[in-house]
Amino acid sequence: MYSVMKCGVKLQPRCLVVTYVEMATKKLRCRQMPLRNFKETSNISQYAEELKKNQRHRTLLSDISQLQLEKMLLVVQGHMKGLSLEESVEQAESDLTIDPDKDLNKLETEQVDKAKRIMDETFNQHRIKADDPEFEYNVEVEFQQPIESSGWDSDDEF
Amino acid sequence: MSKPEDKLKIICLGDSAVGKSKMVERFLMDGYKPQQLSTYALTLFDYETKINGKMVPIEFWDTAGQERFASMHPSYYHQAQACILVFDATRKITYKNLTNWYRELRKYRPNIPCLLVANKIDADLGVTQRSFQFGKKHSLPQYFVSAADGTNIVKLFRDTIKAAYAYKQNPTDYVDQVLAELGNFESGKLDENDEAIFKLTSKEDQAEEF
Ligand SMILES: Nc1nc2c(ncn2[C@@H]2O[C@H](COP(=O)(O)OP(=O)(O)OP(=O)(O)O)[C@@H](O)[C@H]2O)c(=O)[nH]1
Ligand SMILES: [Mg+2]
Repeated sequence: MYSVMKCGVKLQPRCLVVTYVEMATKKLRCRQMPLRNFKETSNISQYAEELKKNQRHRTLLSDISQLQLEKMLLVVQGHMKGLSLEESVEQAESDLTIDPDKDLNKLETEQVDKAKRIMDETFNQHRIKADDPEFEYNVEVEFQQPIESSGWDSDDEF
Repeated sequence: MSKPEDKLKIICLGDSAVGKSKMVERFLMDGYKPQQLSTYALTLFDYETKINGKMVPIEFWDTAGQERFASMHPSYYHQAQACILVFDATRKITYKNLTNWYRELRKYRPNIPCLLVANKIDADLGVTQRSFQFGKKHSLPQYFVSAADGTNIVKLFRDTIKAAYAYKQNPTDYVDQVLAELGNFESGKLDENDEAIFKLTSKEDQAEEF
């Protein structure tokens, strides 16, 4: 059993670095996973999926979300394309955040699916499934009268 | 056996990715029968519930928000008895776009009950303390829900079913309804998917002798 502490990347040689505690020995360990055949043009989500399936690494990587892996890979790819590390991190972050002003109705299916995968991070964190002990089918919560304006009504003519 | 015209039709509307499908799935989790059409534009779910001691069949129309399906919208509205109109409490644009959804809804269904929903409150509980004018302006009841943790989902759907049932008993805009719907049939461009859906509802049309 492992408990993952941190996940990062190394650029020289390119690899994913995961620090974790090995529960049996209570020792802090670090594993480097070389990014074999990872190219400037590689499909990020496919590559991340394959990493997650890797025989040697999958137990450790099961604690790291697909999205986080994708972010690491994006950083590496940005760097391969000539961005500085800082720029590359910034770009990866903005690429994997949802712009609340972006109209998803107008995007291609592929981009909408990507947005939904990003949203799945929070959804899955907060999800209470039927087999969770605290699950209740009917959850009714009454909220108090609002105390402030959403600010979403100001600039228009509803 | 219930007749097809006894069926209540409830539509879920709103932008892409506001969580309409997740909400329906959360409500129906106990043994639903999805009836997938050969298109991503629409998923139909059959449900049955007891109202006043009678089993009433219900059809949920889980529609897709993406713009490329706009030509199908008339079929969504056709004969619907209630609407669940959803925005994403974490994305302002989906709230802004309510205006368009609502305008279109009222063009086809001037008087059916419409329930307004702010979904994803789990992502930002603070939204439940904020006021949104859209519901007040159009006199729509507003619900704060989360498809993720289940907050108020069952209440929302039960209230919608009640509203749809009440409307069906007493559709005040019956004449408008018929006229508007005849209009749609003539003017709408039909593609194959649309036709499939019209066929699906054609029994009801005959029953009402258009
Ligand atoms: N945090 C949170 N996320 C949610 C909730 N409901 C849905 N989501 C997220 O939003 C994404 C989109 O939800 P869908 O149900 O597919 O959205 P939709 O309205 O059916 O979208 P279209 O079918 O494209 O019109 C999901 O993949 C989830 O990650 C919720 O209650 N809370
Ligand atoms: Mg959907």
